[in-house]
Amino acid sequence: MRSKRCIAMCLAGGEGRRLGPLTHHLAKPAVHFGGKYRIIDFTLSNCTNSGIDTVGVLTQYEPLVLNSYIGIGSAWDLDRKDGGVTVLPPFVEQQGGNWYKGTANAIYRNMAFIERYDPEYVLVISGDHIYKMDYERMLHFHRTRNADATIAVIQVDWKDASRFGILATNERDQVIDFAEKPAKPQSNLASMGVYMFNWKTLKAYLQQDEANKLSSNDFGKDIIPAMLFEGTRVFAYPFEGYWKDVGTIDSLWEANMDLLADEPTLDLFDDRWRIYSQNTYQPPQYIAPQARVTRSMVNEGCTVYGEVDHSVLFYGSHVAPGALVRDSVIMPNAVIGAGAVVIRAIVGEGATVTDGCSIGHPTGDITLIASDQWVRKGVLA
Amino acid sequence: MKHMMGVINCIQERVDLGALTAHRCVAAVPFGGRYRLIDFVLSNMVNSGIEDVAVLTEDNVRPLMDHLGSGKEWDLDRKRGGLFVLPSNGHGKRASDIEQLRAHRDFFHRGTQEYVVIARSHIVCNVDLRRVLHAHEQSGADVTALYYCTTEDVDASFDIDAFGRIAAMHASPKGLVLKNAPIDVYMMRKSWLLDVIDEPQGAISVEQRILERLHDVRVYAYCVDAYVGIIDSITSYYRHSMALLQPDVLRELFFRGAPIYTKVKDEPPTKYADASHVHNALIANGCIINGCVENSIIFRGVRIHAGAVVRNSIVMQNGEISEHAHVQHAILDKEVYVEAEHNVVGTADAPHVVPKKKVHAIA
Repeated sequence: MRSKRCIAMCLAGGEGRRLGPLTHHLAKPAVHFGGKYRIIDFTLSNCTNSGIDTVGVLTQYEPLVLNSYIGIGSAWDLDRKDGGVTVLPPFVEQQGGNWYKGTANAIYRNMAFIERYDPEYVLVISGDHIYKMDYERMLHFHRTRNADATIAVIQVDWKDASRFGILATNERDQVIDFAEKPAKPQSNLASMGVYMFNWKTLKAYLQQDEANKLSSNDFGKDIIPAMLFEGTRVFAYPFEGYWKDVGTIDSLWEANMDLLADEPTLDLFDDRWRIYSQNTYQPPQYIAPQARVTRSMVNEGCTVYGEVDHSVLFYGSHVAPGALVRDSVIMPNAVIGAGAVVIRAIVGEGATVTDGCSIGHPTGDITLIASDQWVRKGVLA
Repeated sequence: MKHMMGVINCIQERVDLGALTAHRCVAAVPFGGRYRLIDFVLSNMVNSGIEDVAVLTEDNVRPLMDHLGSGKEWDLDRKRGGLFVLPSNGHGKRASDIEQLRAHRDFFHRGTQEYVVIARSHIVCNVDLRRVLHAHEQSGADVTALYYCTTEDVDASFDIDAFGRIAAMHASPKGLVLKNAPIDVYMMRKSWLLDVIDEPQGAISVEQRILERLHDVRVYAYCVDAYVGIIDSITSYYRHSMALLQPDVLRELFFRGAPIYTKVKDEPPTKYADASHVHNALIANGCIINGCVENSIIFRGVRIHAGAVVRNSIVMQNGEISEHAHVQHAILDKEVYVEAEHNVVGTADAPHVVPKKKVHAIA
């Protein structure tokens, strides 16, 4: 095994409880997004596009779909002889086994994997965020600052700041304070959950943290505060651009709608930074003579006979004649029956809205139709 | 299922698609928004359990090689078998497929399969070759030839007797109403093919060898009861492309049987703007559509700007139709740029073909 300069560890065990029925049988990183992607496509594509060819994906909750989706990583060009993608579920040792206790514990328990590559740097990322980021530039920042740890940060609205890990920095971008979800945030610089570490430093902290029985073994709650307390050089790498943690149904809907702007902040059409995904081998989309499609993103394999406005249609979905889909997300292979009306809704994979049914409401909460559900009578959110 | 191996014959094509085949072989001609013609025969073979496919090639092979790669998209990147490209000997002399097969006869010896399917790449259909194999074994034929029934004008028609054996072939069956048109797909025992390859003979093709000796070779017919598109001219290319806009044809080719595989480009879904007017169109991924598209096939990565109108046309990969340009009854090869307020207009019978990478700026 040749040594690698930098490898990535992608945390993909999230349950995404607030996504409700969408994550009943699916880990959050496997949730569909943007007409053809799953959320984890963004971090895996970022790795490939940044020149990182060794990625450990740490799975835990409902891993079946995620594991088969990642496969040997060929979709992201991560099927490599030396390195590539490795799925790392919790495992049993001679002393027994249990679930990953926290994010830091998950990395700690896979130290053997990391050490195989003898890396200088370890990038810790989360598989459930939507963003495009060049980790190579972050590594450059990390090296020029002579940092032990670098946290990517983004400016968030002040009103939202208390939902994030908030950092305070000095004029040299060095982190002087870190508070996880503070009631009274001192800044609006939020951690994106993207960390670059010198492996030697991180390894020492992981071992120290594991020995502390009171620790919750979490990067944000334990590792970073310990580093700051002991004066380790932690820097904040300022990121500008689109970044979203789609934790709720509303934010998932909103992130999909963001793509429909005339010039969206998240540009999926940039061929220098392709977002790769598994392909489903569908024919091109068919738009019927009487159909109408405006302000929307439509994927291959869709058949549209009705009206679609300001919506995202995943592969294989069908909109029958006379149906209206507006401000909605139609997941793979869902069927919108003849004359049905779908407004401000997320229709799950393989779900059917039967003929003449009406779901959703122009204002208020987003209506969610779970995967494979049959909707027979009108549901107003 | 390891009974069959496949051979796709891309040499001595009798097909002329004008500008579309100026720099590529017929097999590599783009079709149906995201495919190349060879995808259909290759997918049919793979979907029928064939794991060894040889492609005989001659000129203009680069676009085809680029498309096929290691065969991964068709699941043909195998340790045993998989995709083999059998090139011509490179001495500038046009070999017949028999001569080329003879040069590569080792390929046939390494596989253990009993049967070989030989096909050409210009036929668009979705057919299960396992059924053909079954019929072939039942009939005890030396060769099974595939055909379809049509009322259209075709080059040839099989005369089939009551037992399903081909008694004769009519070269120009003008008088017939219903024709049994061959689709250039033949199934035979590998040993039979190897015998033919080793016979001393001139530069004739396997097909000619079969059809000229119908009296002593037992050739049985197998009817393909599905949509068949024979792409042998610009007119038929245009007609069969437009046929994809009929939902039943689309269903038969892509949804009824097994999937048709092709090289993946990782384009995002297509984006429709506020002002887009799209009616009766087949549109691939990666397009941005601001203008009007009617009765057309749009390939991957095409830009159609505001006020532009594309009607009854085919726009191939990465084409760009600028503001208020007008494209009607046209076939635009890859990467064609039509300037603002310019027109590209053909007729339904003779679509205007614009060659690859041409900047179209004639008002």
